[in-house]
Amino acid sequence: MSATSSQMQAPRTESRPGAPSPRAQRVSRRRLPSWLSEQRLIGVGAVVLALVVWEVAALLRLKPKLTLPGPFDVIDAFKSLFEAGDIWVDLWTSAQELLIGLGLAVVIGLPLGLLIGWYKRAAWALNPFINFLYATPRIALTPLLIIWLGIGSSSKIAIVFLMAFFPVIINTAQGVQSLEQGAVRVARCFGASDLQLFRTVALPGTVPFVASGIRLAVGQALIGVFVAELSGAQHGVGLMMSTAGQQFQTATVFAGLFIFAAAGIGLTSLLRRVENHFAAWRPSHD
Amino acid sequence: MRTLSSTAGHDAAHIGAGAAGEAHLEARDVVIEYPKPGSKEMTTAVERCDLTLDRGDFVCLVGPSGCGKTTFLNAVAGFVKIAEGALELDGRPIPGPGPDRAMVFQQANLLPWRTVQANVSYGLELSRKAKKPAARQRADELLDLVGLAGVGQQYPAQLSGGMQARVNLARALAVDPEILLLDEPFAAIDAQTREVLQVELLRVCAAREVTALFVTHDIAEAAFLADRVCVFSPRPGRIVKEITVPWDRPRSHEIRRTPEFAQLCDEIADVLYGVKAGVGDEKEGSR
Repeated sequence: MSATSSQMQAPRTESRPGAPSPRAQRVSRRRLPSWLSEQRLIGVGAVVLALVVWEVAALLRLKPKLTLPGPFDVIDAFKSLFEAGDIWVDLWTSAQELLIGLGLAVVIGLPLGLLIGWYKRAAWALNPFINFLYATPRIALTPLLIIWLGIGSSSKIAIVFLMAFFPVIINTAQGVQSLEQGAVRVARCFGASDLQLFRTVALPGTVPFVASGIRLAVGQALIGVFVAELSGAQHGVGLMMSTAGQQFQTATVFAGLFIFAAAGIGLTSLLRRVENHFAAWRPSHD
Repeated sequence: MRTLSSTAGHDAAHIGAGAAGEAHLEARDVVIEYPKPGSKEMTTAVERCDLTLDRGDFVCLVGPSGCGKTTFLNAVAGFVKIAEGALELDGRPIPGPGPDRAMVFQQANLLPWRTVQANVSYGLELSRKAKKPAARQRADELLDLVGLAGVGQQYPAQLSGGMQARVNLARALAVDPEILLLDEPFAAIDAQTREVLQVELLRVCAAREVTALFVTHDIAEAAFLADRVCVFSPRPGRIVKEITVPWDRPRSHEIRRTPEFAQLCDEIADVLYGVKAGVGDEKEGSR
């Protein structure tokens, strides 16, 4: 057992100064839990492998370069995008649409979610609309919103908002509804008013639900940005991708794809951090 | 322990009320009903229940599960309305839940996002009885009292079940309640820890002159804790016998090993299981 684990340990401790004595290894393991580094190692390894396979497939020219560029072609596409400079306008436009739409979804969806989670009658009144819009592919409202709001930013923001709003409101309402009744009873027992109950039990108890709702909303919002820009826009990463696609600049399409992915991953991990901060009390995060 | 300035006034009131000879908690012919699920018919949970607690009394309610003893406790807490009879605290009908009657639940129900200290001061915070620093200080004193000094900054998830039960008790005591209502607070705790907690509870009650109404289905627990044990019949529940426990409180573990303790447990069990077996006509005789 210890022999195999020290063998596994060897490649990582080699770079450390001095001979890796068993004691030193134990210390290094304590500082960096082995599962973490093993997880990282496997993850990074798999990504590198995928990139290599992709590059090899591209080099073999199974498909013409026009349809399947390799990773290095994509890097070149990134270079030329940033050298030309137009990308900044696109990035700025898309980021604005994304963040404003998402922000509005949270600012409006969170209180509404709390409201319908807390007051049955509010839920009865609003549920028909929520169910209707939730069941409809909201992206199908794009033509309508463009007619109403034009092809500028406001129609895009509206679409992003519509996409992101529902995960936020539904998760928040569910969070309030699934509050632990025991905690509610304790508060009631001490004579808590509705407002106090809301502030001290409902709000903190809902945080994990809200956080995962917002994380889901990020994914939906990114879909919103992309599709909204496809159906008529002046600037934006989605538009840039569609234009590049029409001109068979496949590497540029890939570059746009990675921009979207990076935005998604960045926002999601940022939110995860916020979530962990607010949920410090949960034992699993210790 | 008894250095808190805020309790001094209360103690004077306790003595005053005691001298007047007025019952602290009085239940007369209490009937509690609740609607059967899915119909308008009413089920009687508690039938003609009489009970009197003076200040400083420790009374245990024992009975088979589903007999309405917890319902009765909930009525005292103000969660459940009574259908008939009178249920009064210091001569006034119980209006609804309030911090003068603190409940210790079977599940500790600590708020997981609050530190242990903030959980204990929660009731004070809600009733705005104390400013934050004072509430914190009081929480620390109570944690000290229940044997949890130094864990105030931890979160409930980091505590064992026994420790959570102690926090649960400290939280109820923090609001300085007129009466402490305990709903099988140790039922979910392992037997060894439970016996330790029982002794601790008696010590804490003695230190703060607490009036307590304790619901349990554990005969030995009732016999060990109470001044008087009230045995409930199966539903609809009524008190079929009130048994006085001879020992002074606080008590130590040694009592459990005396023949008198075993005898007392037998006596309670006889009433309990006699009733369970359907000897209904014992009702008037044993009263």
